[in-house]
Amino acid sequence: MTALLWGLPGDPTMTSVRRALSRIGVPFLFLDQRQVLAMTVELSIGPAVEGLLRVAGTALDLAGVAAAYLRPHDSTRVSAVRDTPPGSPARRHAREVDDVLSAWADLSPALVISRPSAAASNGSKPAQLQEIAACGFAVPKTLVTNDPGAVERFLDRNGPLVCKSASAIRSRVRRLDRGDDLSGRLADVTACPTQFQRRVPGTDVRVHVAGAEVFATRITSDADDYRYAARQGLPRARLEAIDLPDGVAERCRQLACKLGLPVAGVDLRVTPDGEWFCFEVNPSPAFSYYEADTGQPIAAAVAGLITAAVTCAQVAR
Amino acid sequence: MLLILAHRHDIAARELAARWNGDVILLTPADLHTERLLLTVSQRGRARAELRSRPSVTAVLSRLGGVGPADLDHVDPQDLAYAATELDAFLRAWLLAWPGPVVNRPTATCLNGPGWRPEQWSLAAAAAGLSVRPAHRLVATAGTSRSRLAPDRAVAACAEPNGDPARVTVVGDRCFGPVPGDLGRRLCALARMAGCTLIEAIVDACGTVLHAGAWPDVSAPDVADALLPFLDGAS
Repeated sequence: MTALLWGLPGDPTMTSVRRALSRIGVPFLFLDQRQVLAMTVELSIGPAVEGLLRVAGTALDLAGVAAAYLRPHDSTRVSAVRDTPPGSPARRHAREVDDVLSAWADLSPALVISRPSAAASNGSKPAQLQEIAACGFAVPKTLVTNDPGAVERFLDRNGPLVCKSASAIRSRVRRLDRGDDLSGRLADVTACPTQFQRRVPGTDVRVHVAGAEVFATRITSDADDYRYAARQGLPRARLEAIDLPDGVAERCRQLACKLGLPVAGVDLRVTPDGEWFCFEVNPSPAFSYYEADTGQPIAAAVAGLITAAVTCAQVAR
Repeated sequence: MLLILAHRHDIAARELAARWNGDVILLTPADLHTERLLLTVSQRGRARAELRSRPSVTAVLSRLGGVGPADLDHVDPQDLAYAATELDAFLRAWLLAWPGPVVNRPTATCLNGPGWRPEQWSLAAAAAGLSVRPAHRLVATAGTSRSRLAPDRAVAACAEPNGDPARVTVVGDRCFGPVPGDLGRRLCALARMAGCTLIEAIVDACGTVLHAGAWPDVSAPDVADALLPFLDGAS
C-alpha cells in the first residue's frame, strides 16, 4: 500500500508534506502535474473501484493507494499545455486526466485529502456560510445582489462593508464606507451579483485542522486583507501561534468534519468583545506560509494522517 | 408563478415553458442581469433568497448544471470567466436558500442535483439494486491506448429481441417509461439516493441501466404534468 501526492513540485505546501513523508519513510508516489501529457489513467468502476496510472515508466495500481494528498492546479495551465491552441489534443488530454483523477478521488475508499466534491463547498462562499453558522460560529452579515440600491441601503444600515468574491476565485478585499462616492464603484454590480459583508472589527486567526489536531495562528496587520498588506504600503503581517479556547477548537474540528475535509484552513476573527466569527473554510490550505513563521508542525500532522491510513491498510492486508 | 432556469439552447425547457403557458417564466443566465436578485445571510447564518423583480415567483425548476462564459453575452470579454464563476457561486447559494420548492436542489458541485460523473451514477445505481455495466474510462497518451483493465470485463450486449433501450423519467415516486414496476421502484430509489426529484435513465431490454442523469426531457406531457405538484409544493 502506498500514498499518492498530486500537484506541482514548486508548491511549498506540497513540498513540506513530501519532506515530512520522506522523514517518516512512508512509501509514496509524487505525481508531478507538469508531466500531464505523459500520463495514462484508467478507471474502472464495477463491484470495486479500480484504476491504473502510468507515467514516465512508473505504473501505479490505484487500488493500492491507501491515502492521497491533492493540491492540483488546472493541468491546462502547466507549461507543456498552456501555449497549445484551444481544442488541441494536449488540452483535451490534460482536462481528461484532471477529470478522471478527480473521479477516482471522489470514489476511492482511500483517505483523500481532500475529495474534490468536498473541496467544492468553497466554490460558493455564501452557501458555505450557512454550513459554518450551523457549527455555532457567527458569520458576517452578508448581501449578494445585482441591485445597487440594495447595496446602498445595506451600507447605510451595516457599514462599513467589505466587498469580496462569492466564488473560490481569489480576490482582493475592498472596503466601502458610509459617505463614499458610490456612483462609479457600484456600476459593475448590475452586470453580476456581487458579495458585500459587514466589516467585523477584530483580530484575524487562521486555524489549520489536520484530523484531530488544531493549529491556530494569530495575524496582526492593519491591512484590509493581510495577504496583500504590501499593496497597501503596509508592513508584512505578523504571525504567532496561539491556543484557542477549547470550544472554538472543537467547533473548527466539527466544521471540517461536517464539510468532509480531513485537512482545512478556517478563517476566524475574534472581536474586541470576544465573539468568534468565521468567514470561510479553505479546503486546500497553503499552510507553509503560516508554518514558516510560527514553526507549527502542520505538514507533520498531515503526513501523520497519511501515514496512519497507509499503515492501517498494510495491517489489514 | 414558476421560474425555469435554463441554458439558452435548452429546447425541452422552452417547450415546457410553452406548455405551462402563462404561469411560468424562463430565464437564462444572460437574462438574470436584467432582474433584481438578492441573497442575504444573517449573523446566525439564516439565508433569504429573493427575486425582487418577480415577487410572484414561488418555485424554481433548475436546468442549469453551472454557469460558464458561453452563457453570458452582456459582460466584457476580459471579465467573462470571473463573472460566470461569480454568478454560478451566487446561484448555488440563492437556490439553496430559496424559500419555496426547487427541482432539483443544487449541491456544491452542480446547480441541478448532485453533478455526478457517469461513474458515480453507476455506483449509486448498483447500490439501489439496479443492474449496471461496469463504468470504464481510459485517458491514454499516444501509443498506450490499449486498456489494461477492461478487456476481460467486457459485458455482453443485451441479447433480448426487440430490445431497444427505453428512456425512463422519474418524478418523485413516479416512473414514466416502459419498464416493469420493480425496476421503476429501484429507479425511484436511485433518485432519492441522488437527492433528486427529477432524473432520467436509459435502460436496455435486459433491465441494465446504461445511463442516468438529471436532465430528462421535461417537455413530455406526462412528465410536465407530474412535475407541477412538486413545484406547487403539494408533493
